[in-house]
Amino acid sequence: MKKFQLCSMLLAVLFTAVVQAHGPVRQKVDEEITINAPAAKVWSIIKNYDDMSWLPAVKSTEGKGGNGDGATRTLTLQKGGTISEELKKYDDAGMMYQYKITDMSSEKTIQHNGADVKIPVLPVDNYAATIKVEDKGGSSVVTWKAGFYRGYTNNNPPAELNEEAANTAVKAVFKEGLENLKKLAEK
Amino acid sequence: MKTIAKCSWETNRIVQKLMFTQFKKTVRAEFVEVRTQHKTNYPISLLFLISILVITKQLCAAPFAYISNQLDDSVSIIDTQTNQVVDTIKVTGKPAGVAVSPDGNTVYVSTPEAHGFAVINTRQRKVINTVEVSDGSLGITVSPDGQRIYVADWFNNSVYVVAANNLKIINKIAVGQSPSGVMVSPNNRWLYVANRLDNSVSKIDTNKMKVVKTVPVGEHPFGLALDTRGDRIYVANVKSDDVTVIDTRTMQVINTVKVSMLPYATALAMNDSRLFVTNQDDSSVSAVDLETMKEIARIPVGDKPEGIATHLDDRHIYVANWFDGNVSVIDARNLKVINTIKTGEGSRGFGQFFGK
Repeated sequence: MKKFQLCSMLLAVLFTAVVQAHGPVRQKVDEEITINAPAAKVWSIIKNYDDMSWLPAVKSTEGKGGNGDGATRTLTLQKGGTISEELKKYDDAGMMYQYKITDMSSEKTIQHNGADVKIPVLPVDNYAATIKVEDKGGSSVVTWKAGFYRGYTNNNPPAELNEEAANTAVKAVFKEGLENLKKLAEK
Repeated sequence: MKTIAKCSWETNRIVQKLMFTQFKKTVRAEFVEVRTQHKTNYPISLLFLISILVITKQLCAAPFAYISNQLDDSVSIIDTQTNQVVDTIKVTGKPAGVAVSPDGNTVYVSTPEAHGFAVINTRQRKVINTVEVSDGSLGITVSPDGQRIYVADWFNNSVYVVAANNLKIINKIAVGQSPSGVMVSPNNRWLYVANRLDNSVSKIDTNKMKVVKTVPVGEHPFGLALDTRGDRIYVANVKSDDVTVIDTRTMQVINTVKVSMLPYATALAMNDSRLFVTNQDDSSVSAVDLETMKEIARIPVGDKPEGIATHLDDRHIYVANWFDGNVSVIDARNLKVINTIKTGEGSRGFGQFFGK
């Protein structure tokens, strides 16, 4: 009997370790910056969906469909690799647009849980974002926000594709982008 | 149940008026009694008043909305009479799905990271139990008799049946891939489940606990609503931006209604004449007229609206906005947002989150 108890306790411990994983929970990043430049000027820098030259991480942008519904763009990154995105909503008067990632190249492949796992250039899944410029009477506030899941959609994510990795990566891109936008607009 | 609970603000007013009339009568009666120096009927009047008060309180206890805040690990309780958050309960495990027992005393909140659900006692306003079910609990519902809790498991492609009295798992029903929204028919005979990755909805016999029929719907069905009589299902298809209408008897698709980007869940109001659908990527709620099966309005709400449910008055729609961490209240009659209530980070409220 004792043996059985010990055994089941051990099993319970092992089992807990295995099922410690969980279903993915959607994450969010919400960054904003105040820019000492008129909103119209700031918007003019970012308003063309096929021009992401203001984002330092991007080397070149190839767009299709201008600022129309369903327009697409492919960003080639400085570090190599590409991200394809689709325009979901565009509001010139409201100075905002919304887009989502449709495809990404992967930067490497790792071994995880006995399988090959590709690491995309941005370690996220199901990513949708909105960028918006607001007029604050001479100056402006730009908000860039995104909702997404971690890059690994199954249980037990590798460190490269967990929630922390996703949040850190998106936050870094947004921060760098907004700071550069400020620099460009305040010039 | 809807008729009993239909204690809207109007009814409340009627009851108040009734009480006032009775009060006036009492005062007048007492005045006459005093003048004629007879025994008063005061105790009887008082009894009447008290009983009216008690009935009013029971019938008109403000329904509460229980909103899960996934990124905050909490559940906000909204008193819908004042539209204010009256309490916030800590619920660990990234709460997502919400179901309320028919008597309003218990709220079941699915906790995907805790592999099951939490049981909240609404009188004490605290978690009194946690139940481990499986890997990825999400959709959750309670049977109309309050006896069973059904939990859809995202990873195991099954729905777990849990006894409400002892919280033990009774059965595990195999369904399609990534089951999401679940709902039981008003007569307690059938359970419906949206199989997200299978693009289908299944009908389950609640006695045999087996799938009896499965119908293909749009792409990635997620949240579903059933009409009052249990005749029709309205399921939101996240990927095909539409709602599939299903006849529950034949399990045939009778219509598909286009809405906006990434519809998430549905709710019915005004005697099942209008359907409301949250469009996650459009920050709006589509209102569909069910006579013509056409979208009649797109109501702007907060960012990333997810869970949606109808107040017991059958007129006010509450919408949890995931990105903004608040709840929009829509008047189904004039199709306008009449209130916005701050809740918590990552409000989801996936399910029938209203309780007496």
